[in-house]
Amino acid sequence: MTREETIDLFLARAALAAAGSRRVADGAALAAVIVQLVAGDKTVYCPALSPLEQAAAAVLVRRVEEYAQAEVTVEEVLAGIAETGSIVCASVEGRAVQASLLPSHHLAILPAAKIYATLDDFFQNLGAAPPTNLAVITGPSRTADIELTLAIGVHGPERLDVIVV
Amino acid sequence: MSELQTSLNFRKNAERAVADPSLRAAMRSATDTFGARRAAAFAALPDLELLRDRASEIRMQVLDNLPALLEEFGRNAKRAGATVHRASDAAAAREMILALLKERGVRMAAKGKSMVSEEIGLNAHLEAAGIEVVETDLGEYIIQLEGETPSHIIVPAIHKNRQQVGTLFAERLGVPYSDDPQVLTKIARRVMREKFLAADAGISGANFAIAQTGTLALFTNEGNGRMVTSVPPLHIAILSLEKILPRLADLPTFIRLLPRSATGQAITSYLSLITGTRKEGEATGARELHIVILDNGRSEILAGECREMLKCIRCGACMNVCPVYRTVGGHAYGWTYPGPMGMVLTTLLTGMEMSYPLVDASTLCGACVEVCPVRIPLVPLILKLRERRVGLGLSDFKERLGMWLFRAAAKNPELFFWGERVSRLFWPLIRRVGGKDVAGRLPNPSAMAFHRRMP
Amino acid sequence: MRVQLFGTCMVDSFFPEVGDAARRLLEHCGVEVAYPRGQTCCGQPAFNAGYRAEARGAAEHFLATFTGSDPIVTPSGSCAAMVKHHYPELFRDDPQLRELAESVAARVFEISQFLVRVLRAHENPFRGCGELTYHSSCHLTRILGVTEEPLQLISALKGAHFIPMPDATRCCGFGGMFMAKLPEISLALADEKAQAVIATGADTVTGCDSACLMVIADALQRRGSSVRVVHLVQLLAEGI
Repeated sequence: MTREETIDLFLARAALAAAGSRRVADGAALAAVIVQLVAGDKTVYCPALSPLEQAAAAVLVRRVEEYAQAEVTVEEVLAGIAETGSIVCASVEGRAVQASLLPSHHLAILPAAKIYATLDDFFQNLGAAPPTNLAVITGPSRTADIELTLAIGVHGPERLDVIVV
Repeated sequence: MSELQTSLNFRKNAERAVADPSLRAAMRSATDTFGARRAAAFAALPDLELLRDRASEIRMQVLDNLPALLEEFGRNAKRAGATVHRASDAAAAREMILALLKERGVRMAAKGKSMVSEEIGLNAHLEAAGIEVVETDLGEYIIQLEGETPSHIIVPAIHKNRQQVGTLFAERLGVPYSDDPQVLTKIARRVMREKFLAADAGISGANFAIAQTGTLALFTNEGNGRMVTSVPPLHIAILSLEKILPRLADLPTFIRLLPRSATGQAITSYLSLITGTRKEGEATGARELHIVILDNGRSEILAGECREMLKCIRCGACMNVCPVYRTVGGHAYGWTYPGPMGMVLTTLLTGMEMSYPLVDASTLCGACVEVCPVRIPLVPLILKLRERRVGLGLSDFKERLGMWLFRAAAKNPELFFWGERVSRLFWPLIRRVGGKDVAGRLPNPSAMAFHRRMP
Repeated sequence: MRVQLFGTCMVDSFFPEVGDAARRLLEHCGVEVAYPRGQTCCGQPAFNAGYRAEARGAAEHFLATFTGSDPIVTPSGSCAAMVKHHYPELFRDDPQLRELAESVAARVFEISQFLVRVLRAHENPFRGCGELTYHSSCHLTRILGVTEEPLQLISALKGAHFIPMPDATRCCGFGGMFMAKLPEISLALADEKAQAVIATGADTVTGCDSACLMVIADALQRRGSSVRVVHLVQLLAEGI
């Protein structure tokens, strides 16, 4: 699979898992999409550690310090896995993985170069020293515990958007 | 949840279940749905048989090297900051966990779904000691409110319809009645959110434990598993010892098989990998992680001829295709684990004396064998257990006598044919004694047996 | 070509017409049908209930009855499966008997398997009529892997219209001793099967195992249905 095919597969599989999935060219385009996806009145948590996160933070109106207080988290994630359309969040760089869990809307920024083709590729790369906490996230939270009827948005986010840059 | 076992009443339980139309409808719908979803999910995956071979191989490898792998896991988990405890039986595990909670003054623990915690009757034990335990998985929460036990290992409240859940929430949570699953789910989200944030401790199970890195792997959809294992300062994980996998690189095989086998999903919404406690400079992870590894009879099983049962990864695929489970639901089996895997595992863990009616709960149709992702030879295992029961003298005297007569007749054609003639002559009596629901289902024996028609 | 016909104990007492039809059908295909005298039972009822020694006794008699090297043909998927799949293992601690069991197992055929794979009988037309549906017996499909052959024979019944049954491979609830030990569950399963048959609108249901057909017939009767229940070899024999 070529890089392009990997990215396309990722976008398709993420969408199948009920995640919003789109691709933009650069930080400027990213900022533009974020303006569309995140309403100005929403409280947002954004760690603003990476350059892409900083580009995003620049257009966020109501930023809060605590992810537990935020309705939206906008953050760059560690990796993507095309096979399943998953993003990966991890407790590296002092990041709080709960930021992808508590708010109702998770907006994940994913550098295209960090998309692995398969689960095997990702786990091989993880090696023998994984971070303390790692979450492979595929779509928003869900349950089918009541009559096997799918309900999106249980304890984790009700909405997940992935933006590949 | 109690570990009180009522498997000896299987037939009565089953009779009651067969006569319960709403349970029957719920079971039919659930098993049909899951069966279809699983089939569809695997139809889209080209190398299912290769994956199953690989998964079976890895699991056998684990069984063949379990003590060493457990030791490796313990070492690596410890290095990452976790404390690993080995519990020889249910009582030891309960005591260990209670002690950990009491020492830290825990008043409320938020709990993720764990079949092993059901097996040891953890909740009842903690509650009796004054600790509030809140089940956070929606299905488990529903049955906790009802005061019931799970009827399926993946969807514990599968036997409940939406009206029952709506009524339950209205009565117990004081919310307006709704039977819309979307609304009910949002209610649960709200209620549970408070609990997560207030809990002094999180208790979870684990789908797998990776020896190479000391990592716990949890597959969840709701997010409660992640909440429970990363929000409270103390995380206690309990798992049974055969849940080990050797290496992280073994995970993809099971990621591809487990969710599809269980619910037909390509992957669950969340796969959490937890390696030890929060380290210096980190913002995620419990400050204290205690991992309780439960034996409860598994080492003995490992040493015996039914050891392949320990390959089980608790996907539930077998029960979703089992004609018996479909008809009677999970509670009839009388203990934690229902369906094909439940019949075998329960008998092995709790002993034949406590479980022997369960070994009859199969037509040997083989549907379970077809779907088991790790190729557990369930039908041969059931046959072995039936043999064991006979050997232990736990079968009905009339049956033993009948089988003795059968053997004599099968070896002696004259006796066999004489038996046929006698049966034919006394058929009305046999029918009366045997009842319309057994002997009454057979036709009258023919006036001229086939062997008499052949030259 | 000559075969040894293994009637089975069920057929002997309760469904001799199936044995008659099997014989007629095989002879129609040009096969000489031998019937080893003194055949009784393959031992499955004892084996499935956990009575290994008793099953072994029956198996020893089977091995002593079906001597020689001719194919052994039987109109029962579960009995064929018992001999093929379980006999060698029943004699695992007796090398001589084990070897004999293996050679006998290799000669055993379920009849639809034999008719299609060896005799190519499905390539000749048979007379058929009405609306026909089919129940796939568990041992036949899952242990012997005989899935296509019965359908190929059904398609040889010219004039009969085949309607697939929903959940055709779901167990009928017979299960040997199961029907005696857990009759409530057995009846519930058979009833579901009867409902599936009725839902097809067929006037006839067929299959390759008399025990399955027996409980299906009973279940249909309990529902007041007049759908005919008949073994596939009977349909074929009628259509010669």
